[in-house]
Amino acid sequence: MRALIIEDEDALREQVTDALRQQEFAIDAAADGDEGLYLATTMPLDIAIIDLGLPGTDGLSVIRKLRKKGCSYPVLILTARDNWQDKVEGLEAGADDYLAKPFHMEELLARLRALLRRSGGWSESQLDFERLSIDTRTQQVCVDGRNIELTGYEYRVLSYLATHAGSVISKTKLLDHLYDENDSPDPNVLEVFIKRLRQKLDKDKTLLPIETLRGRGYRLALQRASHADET
Amino acid sequence: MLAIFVLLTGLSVSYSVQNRAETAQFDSLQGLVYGIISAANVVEGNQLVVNEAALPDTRLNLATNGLYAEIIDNTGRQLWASKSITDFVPPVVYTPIGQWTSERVRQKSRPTVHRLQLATVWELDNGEELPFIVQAVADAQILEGQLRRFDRTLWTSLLASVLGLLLVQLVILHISLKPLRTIGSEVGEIEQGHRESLSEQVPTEIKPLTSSINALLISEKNRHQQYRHLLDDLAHSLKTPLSVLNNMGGKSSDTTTRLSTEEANTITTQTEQMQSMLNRYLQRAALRTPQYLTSAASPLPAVQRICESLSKIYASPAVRFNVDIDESFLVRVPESDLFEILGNVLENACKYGATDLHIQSDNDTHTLLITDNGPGFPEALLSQLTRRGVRADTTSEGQGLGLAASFELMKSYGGELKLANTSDGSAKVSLHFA
Repeated sequence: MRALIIEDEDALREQVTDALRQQEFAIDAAADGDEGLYLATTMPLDIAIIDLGLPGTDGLSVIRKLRKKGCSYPVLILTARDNWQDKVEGLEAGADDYLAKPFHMEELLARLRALLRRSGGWSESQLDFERLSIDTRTQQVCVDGRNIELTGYEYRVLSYLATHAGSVISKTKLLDHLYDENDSPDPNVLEVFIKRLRQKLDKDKTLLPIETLRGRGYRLALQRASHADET
Repeated sequence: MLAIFVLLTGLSVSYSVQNRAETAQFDSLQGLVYGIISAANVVEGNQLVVNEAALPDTRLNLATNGLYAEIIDNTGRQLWASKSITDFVPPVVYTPIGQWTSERVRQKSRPTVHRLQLATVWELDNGEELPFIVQAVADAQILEGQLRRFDRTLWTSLLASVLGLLLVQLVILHISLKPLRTIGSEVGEIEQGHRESLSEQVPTEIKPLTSSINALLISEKNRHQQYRHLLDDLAHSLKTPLSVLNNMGGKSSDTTTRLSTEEANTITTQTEQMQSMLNRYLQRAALRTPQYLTSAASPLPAVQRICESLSKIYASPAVRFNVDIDESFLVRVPESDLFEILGNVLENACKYGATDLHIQSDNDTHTLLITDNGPGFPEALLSQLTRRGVRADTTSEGQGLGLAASFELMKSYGGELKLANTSDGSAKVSLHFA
């Protein structure tokens, strides 16, 4: 998942960046509205966290403009102005949720996960497929109830494919959403991750979780567990 | 003032008329005395007689009442008396020769008279002198009656003119003060919030007054907004560093911060305390906008906007908002505070699991009623909920300020926020507006 944080307070921006990196997010960060808007409209983002009081273009305008340019990823407002009129204005401008400062990092992460789930059409933090289940909160991956140990990058690949289950994700798109500008991704490394994931998740080759569509990309080929099965 | 003026005028007119009348009386009595002396003659050496045919006033020869004259010698013997009579003749006063004595003589149960007497002397042919006193007495009743009538007429007409003047003055005052009265009632309307500014259609004389009052109102409104913005800015500038500290405390497990768990916990508790104090004092400092700076407005747009926003945040499961607010339902709460009151109440419902909300207005009781299908308020906490810092569910996010803040705000605008559970156990919030 690739996230954008626009926050003018350096310490806070770094804290959020660190926390999100630990959660296997690729991060783009900006300290002012103008740079933020540029990143928001040019980077392949999955989510954005935008402070309202920004130098340059203010937060509300950034949200309005990125929506106008057709960016549909979820946007979370981070604001010290936590009065309702501002909240409503922010949500009307195109944000999907808000978080008032000061906040707990856990709460921010929980909100982000909830927004990402919602944008992928999931209502629970647990993504369940046939025999595979992924807990986005604890980042635990299980096959047939058995815990699978994944590296950070392996988890990034799997969770991205899982939240977009059924869709074909091109190699470039996958790389764009997994790496930020600090990393220099090698397209071949992706094939290595996919190969390792297949080995870890599907030792006996009965599950076949990830499909390769030649020249087009990858797809999580598992069916989402139906609601009836859960109850 | 007018009464005093008229009283003084009346008194001076009355006094001078009386003076004039007395002078006239003196003049006429003096003429009479001179006339009597000129009609007198001495016969037989020393007998003083008066030729009555030559008397200046014929009334003296008639047996009528009111005017009387006599001549008395210095021994008190009456030398001559007129035919006319009077009820009361005061005894003569012996005065030096040539001296006039004029006085008004009053005696109990006797009519008041004007008396003029002259002590004089008749030089006889043999060189002797015959001293005598001529006294003329006029009944004062006629004159006094005239003066009384005059006074009565004077005072009646003066009183009438005073009343007339007062009436005219009242009418003039009433007409000329009408614009001021209008301003007075408009100020009252502004205080009650029925009006935003004074009307500008006033006479040019008081236009500067209304204009400056209106300017004052505008500047007051701006000042109020400025305070609010300053408070917002204060919040903004304090909350971001607080976030940083808060997150430093939260990262106790992170070895890079080099903080012990104890230090991290201290930072966390201290920042949380600062945060709650900041919220509390900001709320307290957020001055209530006086009603005269607020106009009545429908809460419908605010409710609709909040509901749309909340349906964005609480999208799964979707929350249904049923809004039924009458167009004539108006409240006198500034928009920003209205957003705060309604936002907290409505979000609270969504946060605690309501999926079907009804927001209804009741014009009769001037109340907004918010009911939902959520789990309702825990009975034990119903009374405490509105107290600041108490939360129904301590695991849920928020600082427990939401409902308490709405409660305080409603109270500050003279309204009331009441919490209750319906018979089926769901929550019911009534917002009664003043």
